[in-house]
Amino acid sequence: MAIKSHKNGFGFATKSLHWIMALLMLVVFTIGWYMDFLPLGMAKLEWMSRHKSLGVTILSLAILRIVWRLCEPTPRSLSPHKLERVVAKLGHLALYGVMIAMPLSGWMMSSAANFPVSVFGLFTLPNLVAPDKELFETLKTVHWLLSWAIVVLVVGHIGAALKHHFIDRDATLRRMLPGKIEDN
Amino acid sequence: MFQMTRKILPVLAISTTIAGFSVAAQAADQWVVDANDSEIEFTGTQLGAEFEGEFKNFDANIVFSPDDLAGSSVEVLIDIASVDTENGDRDSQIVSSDWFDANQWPKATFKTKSFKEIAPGKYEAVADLTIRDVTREVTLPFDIEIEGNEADASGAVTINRTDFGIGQGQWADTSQVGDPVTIEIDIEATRK
Repeated sequence: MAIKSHKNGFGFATKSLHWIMALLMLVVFTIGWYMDFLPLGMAKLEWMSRHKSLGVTILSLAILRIVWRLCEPTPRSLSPHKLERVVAKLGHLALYGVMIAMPLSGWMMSSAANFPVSVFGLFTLPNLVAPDKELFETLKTVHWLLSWAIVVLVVGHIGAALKHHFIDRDATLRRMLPGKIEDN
Repeated sequence: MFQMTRKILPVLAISTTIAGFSVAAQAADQWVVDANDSEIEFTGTQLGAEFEGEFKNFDANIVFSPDDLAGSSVEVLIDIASVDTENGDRDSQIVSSDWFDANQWPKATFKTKSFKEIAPGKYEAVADLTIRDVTREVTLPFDIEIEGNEADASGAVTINRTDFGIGQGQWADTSQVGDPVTIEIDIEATRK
């Protein structure tokens, strides 16, 4: 399978990044909600630690993915409708946006709480903002709103993929699945 | 009279040591802490990352002269409830019964037992540090600059929080809240 995408299909790198990030986002989202319900204790801190480390991993992969996307051709849309193509484009842009904004708001939130982020205990990220209780509350709300924005975007994304697959019966979903690029 | 006292001081020191008295304490200078310019800060680790905090209120009784270390003494009483780590949740945790239990033990105390000069302007204080109901001997290396009637002292000592019972029950586990805590002092004082 080709590493790079071409006009008709996605390459190995983009497919891998897509599915790894999908899995990570699901895991981080689940941890995020779970840890929020835990009482303050060791378990909560352990899950917060994992949530932050995996969130930073998503941020790094998102940057890598955007840079990679700019370096390779983007497969053409299979939709014949202009409106669908525009909505898809906006949806993808928004997904890239939240992939950056979500971890960034979490990182800033940690900084504002004077609770610096350690990544898997390997290194500590610099604080993005000075400790500030009010700013922390604002960022907490932003982080929470973004989590719902992600739900809406991801549901839309999956819904669109399924519509392409089952209603339009085109290769939109299949060409993101693992396999030979020519088969898609 | 003062000149004479200085001259006979070594003789006095020897004789008072034998007699079991200490007049040396009266010879060292008393200092008043400038609260606005003085800080007792600490650095701990949480989830593997360092964070800083400070105790905003403390009282200090300082008697110190570089040329009379035997007669020097420092006692600091730290108001636990004045802790500030710029995080309300964490601050309320710190004073709770699992941590410092400020209701039961509202003050931590630092009381020197001896001083040693290790280089010009650099000293070591051996002191009893009491937090909660635990007293442990610590050695605080510090630098001091004295200009006229103003003194600026700074130093740091690292302790293990669990040695003092800070973090009871599940919190005795040091994987998420690290054991070592570095206490940094920066004291500005004026001669009385």
